[in-house]
Formats: sequence, structure tokens, C-alpha cells
Amino acid sequence: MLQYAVKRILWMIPTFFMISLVVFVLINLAPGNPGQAGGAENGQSGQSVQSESVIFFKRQFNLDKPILVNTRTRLTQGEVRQLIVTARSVEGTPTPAQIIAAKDALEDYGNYLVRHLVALQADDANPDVRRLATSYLLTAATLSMTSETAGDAAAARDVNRERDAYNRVFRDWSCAAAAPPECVGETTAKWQAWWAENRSTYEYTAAETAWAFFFDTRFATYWRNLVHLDFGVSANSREPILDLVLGKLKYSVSLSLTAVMLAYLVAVPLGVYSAVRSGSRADTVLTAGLFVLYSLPTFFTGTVLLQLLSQGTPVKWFPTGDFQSQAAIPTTLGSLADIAWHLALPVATSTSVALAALSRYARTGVIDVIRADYIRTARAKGLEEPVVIIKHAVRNGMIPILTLLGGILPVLVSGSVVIEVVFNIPGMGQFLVESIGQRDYNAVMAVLLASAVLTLVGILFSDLSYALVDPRINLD
Amino acid sequence: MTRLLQSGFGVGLLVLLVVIGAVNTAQLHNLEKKVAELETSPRPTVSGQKEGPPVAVVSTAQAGGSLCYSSDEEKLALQDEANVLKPFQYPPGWPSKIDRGGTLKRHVGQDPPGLNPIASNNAADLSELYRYMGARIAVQSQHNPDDWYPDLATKVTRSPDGLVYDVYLRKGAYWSKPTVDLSDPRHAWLAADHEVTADDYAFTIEMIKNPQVLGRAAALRTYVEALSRIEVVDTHHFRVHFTENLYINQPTLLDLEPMPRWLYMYDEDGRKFDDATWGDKQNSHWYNQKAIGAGAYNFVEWEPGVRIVIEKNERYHLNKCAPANFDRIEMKVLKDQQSWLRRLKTGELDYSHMQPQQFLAEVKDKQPYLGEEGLKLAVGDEASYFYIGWNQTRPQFQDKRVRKALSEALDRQGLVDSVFAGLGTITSGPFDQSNPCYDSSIAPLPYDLEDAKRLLDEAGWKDTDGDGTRDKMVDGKKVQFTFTMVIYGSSTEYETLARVYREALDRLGIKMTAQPLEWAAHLKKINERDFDAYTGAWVPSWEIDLYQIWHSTEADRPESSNYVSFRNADGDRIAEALRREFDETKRVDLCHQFHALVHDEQPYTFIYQRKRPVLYWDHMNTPIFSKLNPHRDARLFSFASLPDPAK
Repeated sequence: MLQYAVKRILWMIPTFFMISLVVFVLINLAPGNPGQAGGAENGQSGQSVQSESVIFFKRQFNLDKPILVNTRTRLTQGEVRQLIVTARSVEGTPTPAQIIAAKDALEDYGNYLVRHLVALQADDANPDVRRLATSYLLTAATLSMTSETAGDAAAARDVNRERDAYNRVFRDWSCAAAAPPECVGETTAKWQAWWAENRSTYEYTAAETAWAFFFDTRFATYWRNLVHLDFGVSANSREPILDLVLGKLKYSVSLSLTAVMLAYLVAVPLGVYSAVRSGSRADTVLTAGLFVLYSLPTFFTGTVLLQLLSQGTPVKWFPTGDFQSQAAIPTTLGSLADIAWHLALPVATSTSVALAALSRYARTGVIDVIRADYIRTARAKGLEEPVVIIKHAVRNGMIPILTLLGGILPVLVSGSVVIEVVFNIPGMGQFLVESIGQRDYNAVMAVLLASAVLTLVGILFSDLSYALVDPRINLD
Repeated sequence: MTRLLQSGFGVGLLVLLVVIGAVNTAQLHNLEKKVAELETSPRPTVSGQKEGPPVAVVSTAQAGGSLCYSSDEEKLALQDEANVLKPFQYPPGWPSKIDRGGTLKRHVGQDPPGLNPIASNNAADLSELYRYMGARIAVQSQHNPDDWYPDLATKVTRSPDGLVYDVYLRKGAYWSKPTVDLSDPRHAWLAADHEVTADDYAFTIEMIKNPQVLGRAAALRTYVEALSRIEVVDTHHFRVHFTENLYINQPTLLDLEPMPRWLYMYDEDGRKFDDATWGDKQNSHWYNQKAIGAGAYNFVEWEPGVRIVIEKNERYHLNKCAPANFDRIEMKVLKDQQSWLRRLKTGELDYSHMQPQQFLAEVKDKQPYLGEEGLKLAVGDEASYFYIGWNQTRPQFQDKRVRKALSEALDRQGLVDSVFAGLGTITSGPFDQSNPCYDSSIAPLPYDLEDAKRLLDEAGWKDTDGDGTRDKMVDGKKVQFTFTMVIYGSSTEYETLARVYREALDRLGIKMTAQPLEWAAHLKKINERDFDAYTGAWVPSWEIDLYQIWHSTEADRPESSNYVSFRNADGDRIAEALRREFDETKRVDLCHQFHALVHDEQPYTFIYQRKRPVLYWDHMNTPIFSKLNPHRDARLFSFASLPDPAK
């Protein structure tokens, strides 16, 4: 048993890694990016300053890096030249999509461009290319600031001061399109002198090339932070993801946990009753009723409940949503009662759906057992029917339904989008959907990975609990 | 400057970007989700009174149109002929009785991303919050947006060449206290009183210009490009230098909101940020989940997903003329649009706007509204207009006769009446109809399929092969008249529009396919010019600048807003002239010329300008809608009588 558990737990590590890989690649490949959803960068005039901000933003969230593998150390001068002439339509007539792609590439390739830009600046035949190479050099050579929010803030601050000093040296070394021709010559001379001193920073050894290939990527960077339990900050609010998620937990957990417990409390007796009266009219009516509830979508049930019980048509017994009242309630008991009053309708909605499935499991479980020999024996030895059912049949019939509990863990965290929206409860479900809409990769990753971990743990828990409650099952 | 909301069609538009212009703020958002929502609650804090200074429950009697001066200093400054500001004036329709106090309860469609007015991402709700809490150099009149009233400044003068502005700040305008526990020794450094000074403005400009500052700053930066330098003369006087004399400079400057250097330049323990990274620190500043201003209201709290609360600022420098109408404003975060009317009915909101389908299903012709006698209906005009854009690099759409025919094939009035519940006015040009720039003598093209056929024949699009679809030889190749129209998904109204349109086009021998897309995919297509036609919406700002959407140089720049590649030499000339024209009559004349040009060229099929229905409880005065932000400006809203707390 212990050996089995350890083996399973070890297997969870590669499984988790693969899940994170698939999720990460999928959300990064979806069209759109965080800047678009939240910022107003797009579609405005005025390029220089603005694209500087775009680059800064991308670097901060590692969006400048390739997703899985990095081959940028192998860029050639010809490729870089092609990017420049495409991005600025210097030669030929590229399509808008090509222009956008080339511009993005020039923004993203950063330091990897430097040696090629220096070469282009020095000896390209086209004067426009020489001038543009100089202007791209400025952003390409700039060293990014490191994050001061995680880890050793003081050390990070010192690194940033150093890098800022480094970047300041060449801050003004570029020429506007309208600048006099001498400007280009002078600036080029400055850059070439600078290059002689700093070239080692931007040239890559075989080891560096190999390192960059695997590790200078979005995915590797994400994992590097993840092992330090650093989930990053939200691209939308720039709050640490962990704080945001923990803030949402109380809503989702109290809602789901109550709903699950209530569902079990109601479904199990219903299932047992159906099993005992299996085939009777009561069983048929109950089954039909539960399936009707099961078929109603939650947004519909929720809305109908609100309409009937909160709007005064016919009654106004419950609030129109929210997690709790805004008014200050002095006692703990009072505020618990207030939360319960607010959660009554959402819990009822969410329970109504779960009832059908759970009670069916309970019914089947008990029916299977009720036909077993030992039940006949129990009856034969003269036990009262309730004792037979409750002590012998139900106990054993509940094994499958108990193990279902394991599958519920992830639901506790991921919450229910529809119910949270209809009843205006600011939980995880809402948070996840909004984060997807805003392409807030860090937030989406964090919520999905948390569900993944809980799913894995839940499955393990189910399997182990089988062995625990049913001595016939031997996992070793 | 055109501040525009680009959107697919939608129940809501996607605000691509509302540019700041002179008007409030630039913002990009999905109107569908964040529609303007305001609400008041019938439960004021303890029967409309609160602790501390007595609440001024005064009934005002200022008539609409009457003038008001906040101080003698201000009155004196306004006598200076060089001052570009005008005296404060009550708007027409100003209620004769205002019961000041109580809590206004409204709703917002989602949480703002953060509350830093410059470093947080743009959001309509955030700009609205600062309309109440913040102060600016001057206040733009909500009923006559060409006028600016004194706010933080009592006097602003402009040099004859238009390149230098002198701003004189009033004395005694104070920042509200930061919303932190000031008794905690950690925050002792924040306890002092601070006046709004010229140095705060210098800091604001540094912040906007710092490329490390993201969020709204990235959008604002475009508008202050011509602003080269700010010079602090003394505590209450600064001078702003522009490189170019553009019409938009003045409104942009006057609308500028200051940022307190004494707060944002420091970490929570009062340590000053490094020069290297202070810009980046703004993006995740410790105070970004809170707000500070020098306006009519003070920030109280923001509980994400739940509500934002502000309360009356007793020290507000304009309290004499334009005091807060409410003691408190609570903005409840309600993400489910369906819940707005439910909450209105139970009295949790004082007012709420709604979507056209809701209006059609639950309100229109259904009195009393929602079964409540106390609810009343008001309808406000929005500046946004909806259109179909034709990609003029496509062979089908290069001839203006074809574009005209396509416009004539859309039964716009019919759509507005039936699909949009009558909540709109069909429109013929790219301006808000209440702006003098809009030439109301230009009627929208009629719905006329016969004339459309004639125009298509004339343009050479005929069904030569008898397959039911018009075609034409272009550059030696036969082109069938088929096209795909990208529509912003998640909106049934626009899917209906596409269906109606497709039927009409079928009758003309044109095959149209509608392609609903979510916003990110929609934006990618139009940025890359990878579309035949698309549905969109803009919100033009009051100060018209045609450059961004219509100038030919923008057509050449991918990701610019001239998505349809409109290139017209006359259009370019007008757009350039308008940027530098200061004379109002001549500006209007230029706009009218442009309106006529666009009507003739039909680069867009202009559909309609939207109206927004609002239900409100009768304890409120009839809402006065601002011309600039009809549903997002409760400064003109007030209680006729304080709501009944027992209700």
C-alpha cells in the first residue's frame, strides 16, 4: 500500500509536467495577447515611445521569448536584414501581416540581434538599412530590468542599477529620419567603439547556444519561477497571482463545499430509498423528478429561483445575489447566518444538478449489495429490515459513492462559472474566465495548474480509499 | 483627435480606444461587458446622515444657465481677457430642487484592473471613478464641451504662437488623505496635508513620458507627444511648451489630471524609488488598489468583485458651486447584465441602463416598468456610431458606386426600428450628431435596391455567366462578387443584421458570408487588413481630429486605425488643415466638407448612432445626460428627495 502510494506520487511529477506543458502551449498559442486585451496600445499613432513601452511590457512578462525552444542564437545577418526591410517596407511591398510579424520579431529578438545590427550598421549597401539598424540597436542592446518583486529584492535592485547605468550610456545614440546625414556617421562610430568593448555580451558560445535553446524560453522561465512557488503577477492588475487566487478561494470553497455536502446529504437517502423501493411508483417518480432537475441548466434554475424568491413575485425571501451583506454585522454567528442566507439559492441551484447523478450511484450501489448473499443471511437470521438496510446494505453500498469524493477536490477550487456569474459571487470561476478573456497567462496557468494538482491528488485519494474501505482490493 | 471605440458590432461595442483628446480618458474596453452603469440605493447610510461634519442637506435653486464663482480669486482671474477658461455655468435643465446627501447606488460591469489613473490599464469604469474623485486643470462643460471651467487652475493663458501655455493653480486645493491607517507608525509619513502644486504636474508629465510606465500611460503618451517640456515657475504656476501648435493641445492640457509626487514616488515605508526603475514601480505601486484625488469625492474602499465606494469631500475646492450631490456613491460590481434590472426592481440600485434586447423584452411598452410604479424611463444619446467598413484594397470595393450600392442595400431604418428596438438614429457621417461638425443637411442614403442594381451595373458588375452572382473582369481575371463580413461575435443583434443584409444582397446578386469572431481574432484580422468587410463602431471625441482614421499615411501603417485603407487627397488636406485650425466657424466648415466627401465616397456604410435607455427611481431628479459620457457621468444626477431608507 505504502509502496503503491509512493509510486503513484512519483508518477504525478511527470504527469504534472506534461499537463503544464500542454496547457502552457495552448494558452500561449491562442490568438491575442495580454497587451491587447487590457491596454490601448493598438491602433494609435505615434510609434517610437510607444513601441518602447510595448517592448518593456513584453520583456517583463517574458512575451518576447519563444514558447518552447529558442533558436535565436542561430539568426543570420541576412535574416535580420530581411526583417528590417520588411518591417519598414524599405524594399519590396510586404503585406500588412508580414510587416506586423517582422516588427514583432525585431521587438522580441532583443539582445540576439545586436551583433547583426552592428554589422549591418557598418557595411550594408543601403543607407536606409544602415540608419534603421542603428535605431533598432538601441532597443536591442538594452538590458532588461529584473523583477524586484520576488526573491532577494535588494540584490535585484543592485542588478537593476547596474543595468540602468549600462543602458544609459547609449540612450541617445540614434538618428531620426529627418536628422542630418552626419548624425548617422557619428552615431555609427559611437556604436562601433562600444561594440569593440562589449561584444562578448552579445556573442554566444556553444554552451550558451545550447542553454538558450532549452532555457531562454517562456516555458522554461515559467518553470524556473514555479519551482520557487512564484506564480508571477497578473498582466491585468499586476498583483501577485497567489494573492489574487487566495482571495477568491474563500468564495469558491464555501460555495462548492456546502453544495457538495448538501448534495450527499440529500442524494444518499434518496438513492437508498429508491433502491429499497426499486421498481415502485415512488422510485419512478423520484427518478423522473431528479432527471428533470438534472436536465435544467444552472443559469436557468438560478434565474428562476431568483425571479421567484428574491423579486417579490411571489416572495422576497432571499437576496438577489452576492456573498454577504455590505452592512457591518457585529457577531461572527450573525455574519455566518448572513452568508448562509446569501448562499441558500446558489447552493440550491448547484445541488439540484448534482443530486441526480449522486443518488443514482447510491441507488445502484445499494441494489448491488441488497441482492448479495450476506444480506439474505442477515434477513434470515431475523434482523429487522431497517437494520439490514442501514447496517449491512448501505455501508457496503456506499463504497463507490465515497470514492467519488476524490473527484470533487478540483471543483472546490475551480468553482462554478455560471453560478458565480448569476449570483454575483466573485469566486475562482469568474476569475478564470476573465483571465482567459484578458489573456492573463499567469493567472490562467495558476488556476489550471492548481486544478490539475487537485485532480491528481483526488484520483490518488479515490484509489487509496477503495483499498482502505474495501479489504478485498489489494493495491500491491 | 478621434477617440474611438472600435468594436465589432455588438450589443456592445468594443471600445478600441477612446482617445483622451480633451475629453476624459482613453480607454479600450469591451462595452458589451462594461456598459455604463450607475446606480443608487434606497438605503443611505443611517437615514442619510453620517458622522462628522453636518451634511449639507440643502435645496439649491440655481437656475440652469446661471453663473457661479468658487472664490474671489477665481472671479478676478476670469476677468483677465487672456484667460482661456470660462465661468462655471449650471447646465440647462438643472433641477430646481436637489436634496443633497444620501447614497447613490449604481453598478459597474466589471472591476477596474487597478486604480492608478495613469499606470493601470484603461477602463471606462476607472475613468468614471476619477471623474468624481479626481480634479483636473479645468472641467469640460458637459452640455457645451467647447467651454472649460476653472478646476485646479483659475487661469490658463496661451502665447500668441500657441506654443506656450501658462497655468495658474488655485491656492487651497488639497489632496485628500491616502486611504490607509494613518495611526500606524508605518504610514506616519503620509499624515501631512498636501496642496496640489505645479510640481505634481511636472511629476505627471514625467510619468506619462516614462516608457516604463504601462497601462493608460502608453495611450496618453501619444497625445502629449507635442508637449516637449514643463517648467515649474513657482508652487502654483507652471509653463508648458509644445513643439507644434495643434488644436488638440489645449483640451489635452486642460484635461490633465495631476498625480501626487509625494505619494507615488515612494514605497509603502516612505522610501523613494530608484531613478532606474521608478517608472516600472508605478505599474505595481503599493497604492494601486486604492485611489487618491482632489475632487468632489474621497476614495473609501474597493472590494474586488463587490463594490467601489467613495464619499463626499468636505474640503473640495469647488464646493461652493459644484459640490457633491451625494454623501456617498457606491458602485456595485455586477458582471451579469441580466441582474441589473432585478437589482433595480428590489431597490438595490437607484438607476440602471440596459441592453436593447432587455429593453425590448422587459421594458418597452410595459408600464409600469418592471411592475413598479416608482420607476421612470429616460433615454440618452451616445456619441458612438456603428458602421460596416469596406476594405478598399479589395477589387470588389474599389469603386465608390459599388460602395454606395452596398449602403443602399442595407435597410438601416428598418433595422433600427425592429432589431435595435428604436434605440438609435441612422447616421450619414463620422461625427456625433449633436456635434456642430455633423452636417444634418446630409441625409443617409435611402434603402433602394433598384438604385443599387443600377449603380452596380454602371460600375461594370454584371452577372455575365448566369450563375446568379455578379462578376467583373479585373486585371484580366474574372472576379465574382462574393465577400466575407467579419462581425464581432457574441451579439445576436448583429447576427440578425447580417442575416437581413445577406438576403438583400442576394437579391442584388452578391454573396455575403458573415464570420463572427471574438475580439482578439477580430482585431488581428483588421490590423492585418485581412478582411473584405467588417462591422465596427467608433466613439468620436468632441474635438475632431480626422488624422487617425482617415489620413492616407495611416492607411500605409499596419495596425493603424485606417483599417479600410481610405486614401483621398481632399480628405488628407482637410484632416491636416483641421489639426491646425482654431477658428470654430472654419473648423465646422472643414468638418462639413469632410462629411460631404465621406458621404460621396462611402468608405464605410454608416449605420446608426445609439441611444441608451435608463430606468431610474422617482426619488431621483430626471437625469441630465452629459454630452460626453451620457451614462458614465453621475455628476449631473441628483436626488429630488432622499430615498426612503426603510424601502
